[in-house]
Amino acid sequence: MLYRLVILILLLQGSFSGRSQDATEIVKASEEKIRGVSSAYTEIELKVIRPKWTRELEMKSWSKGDDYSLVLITYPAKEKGTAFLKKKKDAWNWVPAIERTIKLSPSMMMQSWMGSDFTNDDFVKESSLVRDYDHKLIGEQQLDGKLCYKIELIPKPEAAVVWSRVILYIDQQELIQMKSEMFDEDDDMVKMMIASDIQTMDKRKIATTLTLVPLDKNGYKTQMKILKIEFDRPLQESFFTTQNMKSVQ
Amino acid sequence: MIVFKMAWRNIWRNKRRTYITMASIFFAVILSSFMMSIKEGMYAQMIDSTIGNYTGFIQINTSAFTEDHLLDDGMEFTESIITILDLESKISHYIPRIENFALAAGADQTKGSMVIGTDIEKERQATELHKRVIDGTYLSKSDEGVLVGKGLAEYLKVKAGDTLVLLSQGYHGSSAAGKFPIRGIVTFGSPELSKQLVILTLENAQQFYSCSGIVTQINIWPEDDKLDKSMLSRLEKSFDDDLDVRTWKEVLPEVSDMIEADKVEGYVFMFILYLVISFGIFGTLLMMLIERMYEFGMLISIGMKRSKLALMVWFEAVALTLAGAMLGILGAVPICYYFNLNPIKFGNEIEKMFEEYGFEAVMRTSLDLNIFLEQAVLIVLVSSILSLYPFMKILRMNALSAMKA
Repeated sequence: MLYRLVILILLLQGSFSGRSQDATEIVKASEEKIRGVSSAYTEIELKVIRPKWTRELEMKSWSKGDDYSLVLITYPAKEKGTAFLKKKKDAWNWVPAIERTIKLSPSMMMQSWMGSDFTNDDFVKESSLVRDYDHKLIGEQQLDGKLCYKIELIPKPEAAVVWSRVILYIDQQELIQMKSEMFDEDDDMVKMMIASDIQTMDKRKIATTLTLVPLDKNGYKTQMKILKIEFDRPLQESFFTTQNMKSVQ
Repeated sequence: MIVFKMAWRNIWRNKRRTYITMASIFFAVILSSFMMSIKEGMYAQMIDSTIGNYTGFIQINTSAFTEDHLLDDGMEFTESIITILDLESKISHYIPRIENFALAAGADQTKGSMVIGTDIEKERQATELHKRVIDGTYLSKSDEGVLVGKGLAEYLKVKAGDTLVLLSQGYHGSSAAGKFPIRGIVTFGSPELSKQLVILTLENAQQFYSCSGIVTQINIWPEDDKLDKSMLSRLEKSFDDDLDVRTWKEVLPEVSDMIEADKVEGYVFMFILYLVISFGIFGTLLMMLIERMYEFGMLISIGMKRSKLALMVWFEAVALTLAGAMLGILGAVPICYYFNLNPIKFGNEIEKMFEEYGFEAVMRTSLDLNIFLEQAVLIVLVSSILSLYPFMKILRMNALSAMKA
């Protein structure tokens, strides 16, 4: 009886640890699911929730693979036209009110993005879940009645990542990232992102609401709602220039 | 009465001895008054260059703002607050302000700065801000321009007429970015303020930070710059619990801590000074006693009561001290007055140190009359106590051995 249990455990462990390649594939597939194989265009509503007030933002976002992305704020009026551009390792911020382009330095990556709980890094995606981490399947878990892969992501030594590790829960059927937990260097969970409202958009099933909860601040959260998404429409690399950032509509 | 008469005659009998004793008191008073005057002058200057000219003596803000100085914890500047402040008779000025940080940029350089949105008309009366403009003009009532501190302007290489870019986080997560014409350059006694201040009108700041109707604080200048306790408690009672009424000692603890620490250091120094002075006075008293041994012995032997004699000598000493102290005050006042008009300037090294603390690097004496009186009274007290030594000595004097000595 006992040795059967031991064998079972060994088998299970073997089946998980032997699949680190698979874990990478799962993460990659789930990323492609939301970001498109080649490109994606998204319209987003962002709600910053604080104990005493909330604030809403609307934006458009274009992305091409991991390397290129452009975010344009469309609401509120005061911030309309503000844009963020990411091109490989560099990122810029266009502020129309002062007619200046600000290059986002690495030290600014962890600062709040437009007053939300997202950091600049979250938006310009300087780090990539696929490229900058080693992935390991560590188990399975039920989330909202869906069976999810539980994958541990450890940043590669050279990667510019602030987390000591990230745990991703990916829905086995739809390959949707249902939840991610970010841990700091003391291995305390500091942020949690929860996906919900799964809908079909542009012929894909995706989570249309993402809620980011910083765990060290009571009552703080940021909710991101996808209003419209288009995958893999033709988009040239020449779209992602600091010139275009100023004029894109 | 005879005792007074004899004491008076004794004083004028040996003029040289009198002058020496008086001189020792005279210089003691001058020295200690001058020391105190410099110290008090420095404190006054510290307080004046930051509190009087800028932060005010009382600040009202929300208790959350006391904690972390965030614009998000600002308060509404309502009619009811205005009414309370207007009705308080002991307030001479109050200014609603927004104080927040922003990145300020000229053409090439960028620097962190402190943005002050303020009622520029009230500022004119309370802090005479308009007199600090050294280049360009002061702001007009609904001006969209800014005043920039001299140190900041030099760093950013901007002057009046140029454009200043401000970039910051606004109220409730909004972003704040804007271009402002520079109307003038202002200079402050505190170099620290000159290096970081950007001043704009309150309305303009509220627009910039998207927080109309909100201020971070109300700064108050009471009448005669005095912190009246009854006024403070009245203010505290009039406002809601979530508003803090704080004195400058709480708002700027670093300034009051520095003064407190310096005072303690001053006490040690003054103690040593008094010790030196005391021994000087004691020396002259001792000399007088020994010099007049024969005289005292003779007076006792012809039947004068020891107690009367001792009292006479004590009166002599006190009279001399009083005269010396008064002359000391008369001597110290002009000296302190001179250094008040011509403050001592420090060399480069110390000037830098002062700038780091945010104070003007000059030493100006204080002319507070209390300092001189206090020092004179202290010295008189010290020498009256010291004169008890000859007093005791005479009470126990043996006439014969005194005359032989």
